[in-house]
Amino acid sequence: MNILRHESRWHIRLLRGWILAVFLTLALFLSFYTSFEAEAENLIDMLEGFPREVMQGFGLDVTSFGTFSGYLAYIYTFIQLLLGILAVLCGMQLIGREKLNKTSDFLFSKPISRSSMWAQKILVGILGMVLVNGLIALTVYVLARLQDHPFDAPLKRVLIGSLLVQLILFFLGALLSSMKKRIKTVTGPAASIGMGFYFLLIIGRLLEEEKLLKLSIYGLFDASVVERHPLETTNIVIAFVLILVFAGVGYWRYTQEDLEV
Amino acid sequence: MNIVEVHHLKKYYGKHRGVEDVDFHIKEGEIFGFIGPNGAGKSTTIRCALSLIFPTEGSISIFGLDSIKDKVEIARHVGYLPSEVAYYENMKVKDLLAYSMSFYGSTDPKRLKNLTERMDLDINRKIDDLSLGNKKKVGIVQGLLQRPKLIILDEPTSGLDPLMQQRFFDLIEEENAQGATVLFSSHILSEVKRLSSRIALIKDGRIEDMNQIANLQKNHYKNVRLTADPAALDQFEQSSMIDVKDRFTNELHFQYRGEINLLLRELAQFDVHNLSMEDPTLEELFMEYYVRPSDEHPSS
Repeated sequence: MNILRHESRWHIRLLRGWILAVFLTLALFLSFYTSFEAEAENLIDMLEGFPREVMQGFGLDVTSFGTFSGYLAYIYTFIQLLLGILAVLCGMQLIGREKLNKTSDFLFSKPISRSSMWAQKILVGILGMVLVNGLIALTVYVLARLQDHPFDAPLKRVLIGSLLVQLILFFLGALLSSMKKRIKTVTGPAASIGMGFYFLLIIGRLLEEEKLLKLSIYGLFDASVVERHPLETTNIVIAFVLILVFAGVGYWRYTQEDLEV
Repeated sequence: MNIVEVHHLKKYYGKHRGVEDVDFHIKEGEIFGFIGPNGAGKSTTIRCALSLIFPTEGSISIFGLDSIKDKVEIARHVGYLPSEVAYYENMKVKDLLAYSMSFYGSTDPKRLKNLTERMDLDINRKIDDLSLGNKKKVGIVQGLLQRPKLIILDEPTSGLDPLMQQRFFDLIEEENAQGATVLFSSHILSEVKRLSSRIALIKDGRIEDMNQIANLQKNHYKNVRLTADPAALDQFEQSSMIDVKDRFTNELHFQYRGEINLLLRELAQFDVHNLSMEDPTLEELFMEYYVRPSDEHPSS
């Protein structure tokens, strides 16, 4: 488990800043909820005057916007973008670290199988996601309880949906690193991928195009939707199929590829 | 016993040739030199042996085990120094060495101290702050730390100053004296000549020749210097037996391939003032192999 320990140290350094950013955003906006709740009716009246397309584009639903879970779902629409970019970044960096640092010759000549390397790196990524999402869930729980709101099913659905989206994007990032012969940077590509899918989500919402929403990955468990409705079985199946395909192809490529100097 | 056996290794990167047909073996306890110009296929062969890349055809066995199937077991007993060293930039040398050793078991502090002192390596420095030469030293220490039975060195001395090269050669000779087998790839012939007992010459992805260095030199042409009267030299120069390199008024330098007695009988017809005959240097052999097209090669 030496790769697990080694990668964890790097991974924690990467996650620290992101956890802080997500935590501060979440804590800041959720702490406003009490004052927001008092003004919610006026705000909803005002929002009802907005064009429908604008409301859809931002994932705003006036029927639940005034509730704690509705308010969280709205904030989560943006937090999800951060978490999506982070998930791609983690997948790309963990699996692509040797290509990025040109340390393939060092690591791959050690007495450890490629399968074990891949598994340990993936495990670090998953544990990282559990840590980030665990902290988020804890923050939401504490803030909800502090403001006398239950940590109910809509909140849980938003958090679980987000975790599934992150898992898909994490394995996509890992796959992309496995596919590339050389990697010079991961931050730029990860941000482009994370934001690219997010734009697809916005376009999908505006056009009310189901296929586009599914294609955007974020749309499979859009916070503004899953807050009001149960997670769709079809989307759960799609999520697991995507995770399995990305993980399978990524693993195959990682264990079979010729390493460049 | 053969420690390494390479059987008809072929490696293509898409349409590009890595190696075409490489076949050789390395005996236990020998220092085997692998000579060839850039792009000949030395690193490709080594990287196939370490399962960093996978052969298109052929196979490699190390310690009698399959290089792909038994990669993990083989790697436990192999120390490898790549031609281009790169490590995790933010790590300290001591952390990198500890990480490296974590794959083999516990670190022997005495051995670590001995190797780092001999290579004059400060283990408290960050990798990022090291020069190429110092990174190479890290590579040498991490390659030898676990007392490997097989040491694979790919262009090991690039970046090392002459003093460190000397210490490195001493280290390799000591490891070899203690039973380690060494595969030493280089295009610096003096290094290979100093360390290796047997060499393979690789060109265009094929082994051109493989022999003891002494035999390799003996079995090729001779460099001959002949001093005689100009008229005799003129007459002798017409001989098809020789390959003239230089001609001065009373002196002729030529290469001779073939039976020495035939040459001596031919020379007996002339009034020879002086005659010297030498084996080619390794450098000359290298040029002979690599400058001439394969079909003109003397041994082909």
